[in-house]
Amino acid sequence: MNMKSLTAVLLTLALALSAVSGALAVNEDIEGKVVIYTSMYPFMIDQMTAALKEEFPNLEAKLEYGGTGDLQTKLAGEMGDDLKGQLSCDMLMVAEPAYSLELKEYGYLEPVEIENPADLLRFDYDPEGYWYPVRTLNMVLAYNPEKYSLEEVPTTFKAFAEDRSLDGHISMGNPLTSGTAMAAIVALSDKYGYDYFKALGENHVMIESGSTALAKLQTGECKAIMILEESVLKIRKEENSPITVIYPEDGVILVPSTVMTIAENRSANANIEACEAVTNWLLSEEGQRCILSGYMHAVRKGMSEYPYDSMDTDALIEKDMGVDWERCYHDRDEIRGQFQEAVTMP
Amino acid sequence: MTRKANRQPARTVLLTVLAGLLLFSSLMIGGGIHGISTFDRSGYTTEDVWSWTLRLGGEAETLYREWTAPELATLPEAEQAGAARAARRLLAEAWHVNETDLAEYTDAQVWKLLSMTYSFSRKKISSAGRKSIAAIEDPAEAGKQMLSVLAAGSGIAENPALSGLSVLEGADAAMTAQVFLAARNENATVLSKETSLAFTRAAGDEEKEIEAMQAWAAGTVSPLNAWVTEHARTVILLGALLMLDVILLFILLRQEKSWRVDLKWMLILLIVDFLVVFQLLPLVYLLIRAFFPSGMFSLETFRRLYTYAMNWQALTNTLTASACTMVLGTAIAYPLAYLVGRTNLYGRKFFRSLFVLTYMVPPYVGAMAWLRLLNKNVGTINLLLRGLFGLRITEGPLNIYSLGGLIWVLTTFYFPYAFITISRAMEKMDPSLEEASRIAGASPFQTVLKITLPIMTPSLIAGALLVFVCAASCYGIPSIIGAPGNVHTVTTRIIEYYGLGVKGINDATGLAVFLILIALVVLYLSDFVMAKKQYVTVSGKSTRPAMVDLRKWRVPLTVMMGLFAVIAVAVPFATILTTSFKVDVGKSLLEEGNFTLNQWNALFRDESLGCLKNSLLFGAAAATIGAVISCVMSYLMQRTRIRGRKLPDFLITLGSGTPSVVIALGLIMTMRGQFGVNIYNTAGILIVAYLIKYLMMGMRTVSSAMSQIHVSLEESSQISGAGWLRTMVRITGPLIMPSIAAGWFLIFIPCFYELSMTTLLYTSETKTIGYQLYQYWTFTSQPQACAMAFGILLFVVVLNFVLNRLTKGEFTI
Amino acid sequence: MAKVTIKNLTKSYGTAQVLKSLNAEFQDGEFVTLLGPSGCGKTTILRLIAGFEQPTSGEIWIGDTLVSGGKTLLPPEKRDIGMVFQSYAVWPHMSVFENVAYPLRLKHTPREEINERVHRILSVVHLEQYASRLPNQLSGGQQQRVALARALLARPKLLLLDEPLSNLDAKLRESMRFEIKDLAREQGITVVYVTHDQSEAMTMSDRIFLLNNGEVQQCDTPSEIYNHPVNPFAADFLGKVSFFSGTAEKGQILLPDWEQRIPGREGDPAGPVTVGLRPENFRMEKDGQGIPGVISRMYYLGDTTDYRIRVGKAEVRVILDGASHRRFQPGDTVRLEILDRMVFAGADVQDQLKIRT
Repeated sequence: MNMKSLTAVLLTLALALSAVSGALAVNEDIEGKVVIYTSMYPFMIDQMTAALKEEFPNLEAKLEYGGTGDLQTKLAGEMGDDLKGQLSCDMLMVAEPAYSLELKEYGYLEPVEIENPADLLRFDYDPEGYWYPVRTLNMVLAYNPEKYSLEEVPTTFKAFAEDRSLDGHISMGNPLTSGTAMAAIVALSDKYGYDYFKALGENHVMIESGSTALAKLQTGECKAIMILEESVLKIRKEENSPITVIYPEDGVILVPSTVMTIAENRSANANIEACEAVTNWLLSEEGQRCILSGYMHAVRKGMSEYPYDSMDTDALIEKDMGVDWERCYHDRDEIRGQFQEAVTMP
Repeated sequence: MTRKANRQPARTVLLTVLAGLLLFSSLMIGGGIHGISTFDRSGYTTEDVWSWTLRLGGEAETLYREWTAPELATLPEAEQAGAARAARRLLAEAWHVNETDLAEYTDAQVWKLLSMTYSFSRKKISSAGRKSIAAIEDPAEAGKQMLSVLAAGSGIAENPALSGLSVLEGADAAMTAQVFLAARNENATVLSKETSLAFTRAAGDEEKEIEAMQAWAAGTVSPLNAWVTEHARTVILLGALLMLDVILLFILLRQEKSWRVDLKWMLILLIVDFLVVFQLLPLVYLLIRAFFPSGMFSLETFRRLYTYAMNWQALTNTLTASACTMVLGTAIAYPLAYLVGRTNLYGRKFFRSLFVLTYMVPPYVGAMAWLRLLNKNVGTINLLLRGLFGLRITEGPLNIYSLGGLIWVLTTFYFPYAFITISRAMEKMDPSLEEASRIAGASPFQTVLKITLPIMTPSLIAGALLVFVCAASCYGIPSIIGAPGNVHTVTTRIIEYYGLGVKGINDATGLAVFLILIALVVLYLSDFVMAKKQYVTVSGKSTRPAMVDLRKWRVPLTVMMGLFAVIAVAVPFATILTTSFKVDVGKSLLEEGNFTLNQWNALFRDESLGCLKNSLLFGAAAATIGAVISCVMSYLMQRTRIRGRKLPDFLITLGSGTPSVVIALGLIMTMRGQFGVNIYNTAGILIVAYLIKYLMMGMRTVSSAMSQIHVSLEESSQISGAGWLRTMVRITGPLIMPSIAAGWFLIFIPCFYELSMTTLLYTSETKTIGYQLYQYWTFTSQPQACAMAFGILLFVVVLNFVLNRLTKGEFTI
Repeated sequence: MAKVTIKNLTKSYGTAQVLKSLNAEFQDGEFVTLLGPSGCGKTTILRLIAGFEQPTSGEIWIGDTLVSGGKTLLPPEKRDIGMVFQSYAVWPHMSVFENVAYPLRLKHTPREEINERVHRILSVVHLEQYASRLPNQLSGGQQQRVALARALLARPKLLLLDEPLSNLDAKLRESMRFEIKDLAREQGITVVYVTHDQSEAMTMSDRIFLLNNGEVQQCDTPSEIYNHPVNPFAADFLGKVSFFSGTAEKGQILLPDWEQRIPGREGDPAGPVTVGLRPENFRMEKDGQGIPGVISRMYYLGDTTDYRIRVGKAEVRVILDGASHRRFQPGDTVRLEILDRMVFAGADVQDQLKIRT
C-alpha cells in the first residue's frame, strides 16, 4: 500500500473525525437492536415496524405497545425508588408530552440531533435535543348523525360539559391512564377553571376507553363523546362508519406527542446511533407519511397531507386551544385530584 | 431391642448431615451478606461489576496475546518503544492522570488497559471511517503503518505525505490507536460490545470504571469474590431456604418418628420453599411496606388513604357488593344445586353443564354483555321493558352502572363457585338421611329445610365465604360496570393508584393490604372454624340418592329454571355472539352490510395465534405444576399426621383469595433481583403468578378425591414393597386420575384467559389471550373483543368435551 | 297393623331388570324377611314399598290403599311407615331426643305428649340417659337403637328394616335381633326385614322370601325352606349342604363319586339328579350297616365336630356333636347312615346354584 492511499485514508479519517459526531449514517450501517415503547395503536406499530425494516434492513427494531399510563407505571417500576434503574427500552413514544419533561429532569434522556429543527417542525421541541414532537394527536368531539341530529349535540367543549340535555349521555377517556385525556383536562381547566370539571361531574360523564365510547355512539347510548380524532377517522375509513367529528368551536386540543431517546447508560441496548437514525427517519417525509397512515397529523412543516378526511393540519393548529405542558407536568397531581373529586366521586 | 439399635446409627448419620447442612447454610448467608456489604461500600452501580471487569480484562488479555503483541514484535525496537510510550501517554490522557501515576504498570499491562478503556470509549469509529478501513486491501498493514506513525511521534511533520497526521492529537490520536487496536476485529470494535456495555453499566461512572480496571490490573479481583458479589442475594436466599428446609425436615422427621429421608419429604419441602419465596415473601414485603413506610411503624398511610372520601366509598362498595353477592349467589346456588342434583327436574344434566359454563368464561365478558343489555339509555332489556310496559321514559328502568348492577353481574358470574361447592357437598351427603326424614312424614320441602340445609350449612358457609372473597378481589367487572357509574371498588382504586407511578405504589399497597386482611380473616374462618363443624356423612354403600319427585311442581320449576338460565346465561352469551358479527354495534345484525366475518378472521392472524400459543403454554405449565403440587400437598394433608400440615393448604387458599392485582404487585416489587430471584419480564413471573392465584382449585379437587381413597389401598402397596413414589404413581394416581384431570382443568381455564395479572406482568414476548382481549376491548372495537371472547368460550367448551371423552365420561367439573 | 299386597311387581333400570315379576302378600302383624345374596333385589323391593323407587310395572297395596302402581305413586311421607336404614341415618345435627321426636314434631303433636312418648320409647330401647347426646357421641349399636326408636315411635302400620344389624359386631347383633323381634311382636307391627344373613332370617322370621337374581326362589316358613328347599340354591343358602351328582333309576340313586347306591324315594325325580345332603343329617358309627367311608379330616369346634369322610372318590361333610371327637380319629373307617336327603332334578350343580357374582 503506497503513501497516497494511506494519506487518502487518513485524510478521510480526519474529515470524518472533524465532522459532527453522529452524522447521518448510511442506512445499512445502522445495525444492532433497538426497543421502542409506544402508545401508538397496534396496527400502527405493525406498519411502522415494516417501514423501519425496509429503511434499516440491518436494524432489529422492536416496537412494543403499552397505554401511556401502563408504560409510565412500568418504567416507574424499572427506574426504582432511587431513579437509577436501567430501563428495558431505548426509545419512547408516548402520548403525553409532559412525560418528556419529567424524564429529562430525572436525567433519563439522551440528546439527539436532527437537521434544523426550527425550520422543520410545526410544534415545540427541546432545544437541547432531548425530545421532539413526532405526531399530533387531536382531541375533539364526535357524534353519530344517524342517531342524533347536529342540533342535539354540543359544538363546543364548554357545551359538552354544561349542556344539561347531555346528562348521562357523554363519555371521555380516563386522565389517569390516557395521556391525551390528561392533556385535554389540563387545557380545559386552564381555559375554564376547575368549574369545568364540576360541570362534567354534574353531567355524569362516563369514563372509559375510546373503543367503548365509540360503541356507545353507535348504539345511541351516548350523544357525544370526547375522543381522539384518529379513532374516528379510522372507523370512518375502514368501516364506513357514519360517526362524525365535531371540531369544537372553542378549540381543538392538539397533543404533539414526542419521541425520546433514553440515556445510553440507562437504555436497554445503548444503540444511540440507531436511535438517532430512527428519530431522523421519523421526522422525515417518509416517516411522517407513515404517521399519516395511522390517522394522525404530521408535525413536519410544509407537509400538506392530512389523514383521511380530516382537515388541513395548519388550519387545525390555528384552532388549537393550547396546553400548558409545564403545568401538565408540575401540577399533574393537583389537576388529577380536582378531576377525581369533581367527576369520578359519586 | 434390635429395632431401636438399628434406628440409632441411621439417626445419628442423618443428624450429622443435617447439622452440616445447617452450618453450610449459615456460611452461605454470611458470605452473601459480606458480599453485599462490600458492594454497598464500594460505590459501584450494579453487583456484577467484578464479573464484567474480569470478563473485559480477559478479552483484553486475549487481544493482546493474539494480536497486539505479535504485531508489535514485527516493528523495529525503536518503534516498539515509541509505540509503548505513545500508548502510555494515551492511557494517561484517557484516565486523566499523569504518566508518572502509571509507572507501576508494565508495557503489556498498559496495552491491555488501553484496549479496555477504548472498548467503551464514547468516540466511536464513524461509519465513514469504517468504510475507509474496509476499503483498504490490507487493513493489518495499514494498521501497522498507523502504529509506526504513532510511534514516530515528532517525526510526522517532516513527511509531507503524512502532514495530515499532525492535526491528530488528543482524542484523535486515541482514535487512531483505537483504529489500530480494532483493525483486527471485524466489528471494528476493540473488545466485544456486550461486555463493554455491561462493564460500563456495572461500574456506573468514569471514575469507577478506572478504579475497576486498576483493581483488575492489580489482581485484587478474584473470580470467587466476583461470583459471590454478583450473586450475593441469591446466595443468601438459597442459604436461608436451606436453613429453613433443614429445620423443617428435622421437625417433620421427629414428628413422624421415622428417620428415613424419603422422596416425599424432599418434594414437600421444595413446595414449601416455592410457596415461601413466591407467595409469602411478596405478601410480607407488601405488608411491611404498608405498615412501615419509612422504616417505622406507622398507620399514616392508612389514615391518609381511608379518610379520602373516594377510597372510603370504594371500601364500603367493596364490602357491600361482596356481601350481597355472597348472599344472593348462595341463595341462588343452593336451590339450583338441589333441583339439579336431587330432583327429577327436566333437563338436569343440561342445566348443570350450563351453570358450570359461566365459570369457564372470563368475568369481564359477562360484564361486556350486561353493559349492552342493561345500560340505562339504550340497553336492549331496558328497551324491551319499556316496550312491554309502555313506559315513556328515556332512561332506565334499570341501570347497570350502579351498585345494584355491579352486584347483579358479580352474582351471575360467581354463583357457579357456590353452585359447584354445594353440589359436591350434596353429592357426598348420605342420601338415607333425607330418606329417613321422608319416611318419618316430612314432605320434600320440609326435609330440605330441616335436614338437608342444616347438615349442609357448614359447606354452604364455606361456599359463601369463597364467593365473598372472590367478589371482593374481582377487578374486571367493577372496572367495566362500576367505573362509568362512579361505583369504585378497592381493586379499581388500587389500579388507579398503581398508574400514578412511584408515589402511587405505596398507596396501592396500602389499599391492597385491606384486601389481604379480608382474605386472611375470611379464609381463616372458613378453613379452621367451619371445617371443624363439617358433618362427615359420606355413606359407605354407594346408594343412588332418591330423586325427589316434584310432581305438580315439575313443569313450573323447570320453566323457572329455564327462565333463569336464559336470563343469566343464554342472553349474555347470545349478545356477545351477535355483537361479534356486527360492524356497527348500534345497528341490528340483519341490517344491510352489518354482518361481517372480519372480526372472526382477525382471530387467526399471527398475532392472535401467537397469544393463543402463549396462553396454552403458560396455562398448561401452571396447571401441570399445580397438579403435581396438589398431589403432593394433598398427601401431606390427608395421609400424614404432622402438626401444621394445614398451613401450606391455608397458604394456597390465601393465594386464591388475594386479589390478582395484589399478587402481581407483590411479584413486581420483589422479583427484580433484590431478593435473589429475578424473573421479572419473563414468562416465569406470569406462570408463578397464575399458579399462586389458581392453585387452590386443583388442590381442593385432588385433596377431596384422595380423602375418599381408603388408606388401606396404599398400605397394601407399601407392604408389597413399593416405595412412596411408586405407590403414588401406580396406585393412588390412577385411582384419582379423574379428579387430577379435573383439578388440572380447573387451574388451566382461569390461567388461560387471565387478564389482570397479565396486564401488569407481560412483555411483548409473553402476550396472552386475556391480554389480547383487553386490548381489543379497550383499543380496537367491541365486536372484535366479542369475537375473541366467544372464541375463548368455544375453545374451553370443546376442551371440556374432549377431556370428558378421553376419560370416558369420568371427568366433569 | 297392615297387610301388604304386591302384584306382578317388576323393576328395571334401563335395560337391566333387577326385579322380575313378584307376587306376594305379607299378613298383618307378620314378620317377613327378604333374604338373598347381594344384588338379588331385596333392597329394591324394600325401597319400592317405601316409595323411594317407582315400579316399572305392577302394584303395591298397603292395607286397602294402592300406594304404587299404574298412575299412582304415594310419596313416602304419606305412607305411614317406619324405616330403619343400614347406615342408621341418624341426623348428626340433632340430639338423640330430637332425632326420635322428629316424626311427632312434623305432626304438630303437643309438647307434653312428645316428651312422654319419646322418653317411653327411649327407655324401651334402653337409651334414656342419652337423650341429650349428639349421635357422634354414641356407639354403632346405640345409634342403631336411636334409629329403631324413631321408627317405632310414630306407631306405624308397617316397619321396614334394611340390613340394620350388618354394621354391628356379632354379640351385639345377636342381642339386637331378639330386641327387634320382641318389640315388633309387642306392638303387633307388620315387619319387612331385609338381610343376607341366613341365621338372622331363620331366628326372626315368620316367613322368608328367598330371592336370587330378582326372582323369588321360595317363600315359606324357615323350617320348610330349610327342610324342603325347592332348588339347590335354596338348599345352599339356608344352612350347610353338600351336593353330589347322580342318576336316579329303578328306585335307587347311583352316586358315581361315592361308588355307592342309595335308596330312592317316592317322588324323587328320575334321570340325572343332584343329591343334597346336610352334614347334620348323618349318623356315623365305627361299624354297622351304613355306607363305608374313611375319616380324612376332623375339626373340633367345641359344641360340634366337623368331619370330612372319604366315600369312594367323594368327600362328604358330616357334623356331629362335640363329644364325638373323643370317639373318632382321622384315618378311622366308619359307617355312615343318611337320615335325610334332598334330591333335585338335573346334575349340573354349578348351573343350579347360579349365584350372581
